[in-house]
Amino acid sequence: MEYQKINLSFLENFTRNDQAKMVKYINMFLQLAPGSIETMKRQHAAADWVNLRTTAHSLKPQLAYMGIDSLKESVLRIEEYAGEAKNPEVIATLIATVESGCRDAFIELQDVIQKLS
Amino acid sequence: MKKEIVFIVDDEPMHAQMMQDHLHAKYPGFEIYKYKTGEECNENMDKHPSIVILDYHLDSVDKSARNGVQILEHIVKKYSGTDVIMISGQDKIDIAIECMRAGAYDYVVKNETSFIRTENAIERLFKHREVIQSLKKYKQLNRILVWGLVVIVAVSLIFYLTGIIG
Repeated sequence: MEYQKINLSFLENFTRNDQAKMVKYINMFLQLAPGSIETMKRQHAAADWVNLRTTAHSLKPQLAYMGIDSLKESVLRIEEYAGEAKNPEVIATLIATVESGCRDAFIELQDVIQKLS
Repeated sequence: MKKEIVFIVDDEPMHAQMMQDHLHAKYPGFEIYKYKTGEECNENMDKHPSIVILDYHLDSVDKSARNGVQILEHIVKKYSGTDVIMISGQDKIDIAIECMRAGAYDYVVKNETSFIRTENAIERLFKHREVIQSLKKYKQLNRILVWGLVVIVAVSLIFYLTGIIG
């Protein structure tokens, strides 16, 4: 499988290619990220901009550790717009982009885990 | 040698775990404790941590949790032996200034480089503490020398006045 969404060079560097540690961090991401996306959707529906900004803010470094760089800009914009409580339609589109991108990334990360385990 | 006790206060489990693993690998002698809120950190301050690595945003899970700067101010006010390194996903200069003004030793942006930057901040902190210790020693030595000189002058004066000398 060729990986389009993820780039694990940071994680490989950080763990010094310790496969057990890589699996540990990938599993943590796979447990945490879907919850964060659901929370963002809920907060958007409730127009809870303050907390939506915090959730996007927390997701940002996690995506960076998994090298999901293509979603960095979208998460930054969610954080920015939510902080200003503006552009709810754009925020909805951005959340959908993050959700779809993460879905692809999750599949790739599952594949990595299978190969490393 | 005194064991360094380090607190990691962060409500993002992944970042906290990675920071703990990184510091453990770099400093095997560190005793590291992780807390999700500033309140938990405060409850455990009787462990006397020498370093607290404190997240700026501590309300992503528990919305009622106090923010990092409030906890920082509390630590700075009550625990002079503890240094605080602030961590935040915000790379805005005004947040960094706010933290430094509140008494943080350093401010690190939360991203892929935050682990090595925290390590660098700890190294700088150790050197800073060494300089402070040396300064204290020199001040003490200086005080002893001054008092010694005063005693010699006083004794010489007494001998002179009582006619023992000359």
